[in-house]
Amino acid sequence: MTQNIQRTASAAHVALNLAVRPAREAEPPMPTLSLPDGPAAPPLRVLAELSSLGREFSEAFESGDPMLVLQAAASRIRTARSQTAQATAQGASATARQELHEQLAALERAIESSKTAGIFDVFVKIGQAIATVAGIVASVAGAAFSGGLSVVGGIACAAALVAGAGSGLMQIMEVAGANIDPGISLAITAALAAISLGAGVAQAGSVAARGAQAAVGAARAAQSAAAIGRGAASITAGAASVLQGAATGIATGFHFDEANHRANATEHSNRRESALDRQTEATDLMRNVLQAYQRITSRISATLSAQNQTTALVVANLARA
Amino acid sequence: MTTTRIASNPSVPAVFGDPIMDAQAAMLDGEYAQQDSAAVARRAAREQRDAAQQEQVRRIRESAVARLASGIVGSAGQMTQGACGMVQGGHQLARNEGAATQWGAASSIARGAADCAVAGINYHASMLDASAQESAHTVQRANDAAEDARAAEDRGRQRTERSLQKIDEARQAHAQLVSLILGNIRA
Repeated sequence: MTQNIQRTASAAHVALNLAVRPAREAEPPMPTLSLPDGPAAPPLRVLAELSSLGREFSEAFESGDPMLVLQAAASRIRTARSQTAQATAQGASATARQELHEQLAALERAIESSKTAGIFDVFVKIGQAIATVAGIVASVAGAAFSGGLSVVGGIACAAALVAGAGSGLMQIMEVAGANIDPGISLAITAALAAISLGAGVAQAGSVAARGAQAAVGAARAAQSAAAIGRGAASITAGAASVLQGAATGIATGFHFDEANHRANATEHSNRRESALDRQTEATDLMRNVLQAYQRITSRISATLSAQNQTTALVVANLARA
Repeated sequence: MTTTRIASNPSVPAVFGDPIMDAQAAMLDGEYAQQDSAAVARRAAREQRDAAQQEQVRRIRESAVARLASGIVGSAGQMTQGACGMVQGGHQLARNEGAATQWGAASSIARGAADCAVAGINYHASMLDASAQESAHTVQRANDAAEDARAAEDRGRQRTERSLQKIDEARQAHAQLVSLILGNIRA
């Protein structure tokens, strides 16, 4: 009887090892055997450990059949391991689903933030365009008004000179038409022409002076207008820059919100991947446990068959004897 | 572990008296050790992947914060430029050219300083983006390593199954041989 128990305990021990070994990688919690490492555990210790596992072992021990004990051990291990692995797989699957939902929600929030940021990006571009145009207007106004009126003043002065010269020439023509001695007439005409030309020159000088005065006044008015134009353009450009800056700040905030949501989505994706890994490992564990159980039950069946054959042979020999 | 006792404990074969069981235990020990090493490699690859993923997300967040700072500085620069430009315009309207020139210079300096700071922060953000991209590549490599280890585990498991099948066939042949011998003895 003691030998039978020892054989049973050792066989159960081996069965436990064979069943536990392929499935030990995930180390799920289960009603464990506290068998020590090192040399083989004492059979009575093994029996005590097996008895603590449940009612099915007590019944198997009471039957006295070592194969039933093996069967109970294999069944018990398969049940515990499979249940644990199944719970792990289900938990991981639920986690993966939850992470997927949260990932999608984060992506939707990122899309919303991106749309809003796009609207403010348009304001940024509008502000930039206004500031640029106003800056160009300010520059052109400053340059064109002052330079343009100086040229007009010069033209007016030149026109006054030409007009004076023309007047002198007309007087010379009238004098040249009179019937007087050609020599005297020429001398008088030349003198009158010289006087007329001098008056013309003087008139032209006066006109030029007045033109210059007018040009100076016009230039001052133009400078005032240019200053007004530049000032208005600068204020417009400044306001546009303020608008652009505010829009840039708001758009930056929404871009940050979008990036934050994208990072959240990536994090949820990573967690989902880890959960899927746990699910895969649990599935592998269930497969390993099932294969180990099949191996053990197959071995038990082979042992039972051998026992039956031996028993039949012994009975036949006894009958013959 | 307790399984090593199957092969290393000399009392086990004595209890069973079965050399095939002994050989099977030794073979299983070797093959399970290979599977264990593949599982360890796979677990290490996944831990490396998890670490790389965390690093990647951290870099992405840091890059986002850097770009936020860049945007704030740029926005402040633009608004300062605008405010200085408006004051400059006021002085121009008042024909106070000297003050207008000073405010115009202040406007340009504010904008230039802000642009310079924005460029520096954007460079830092670009470095963070590149680091995040590198972490993504590390994640990919770790995933590939984990897949390879898993394939090695599968191959080891299939090899174990084939070995067990052959051992079962050997055991059946052994049983048939014993039965034949017993039959001859009985005859």
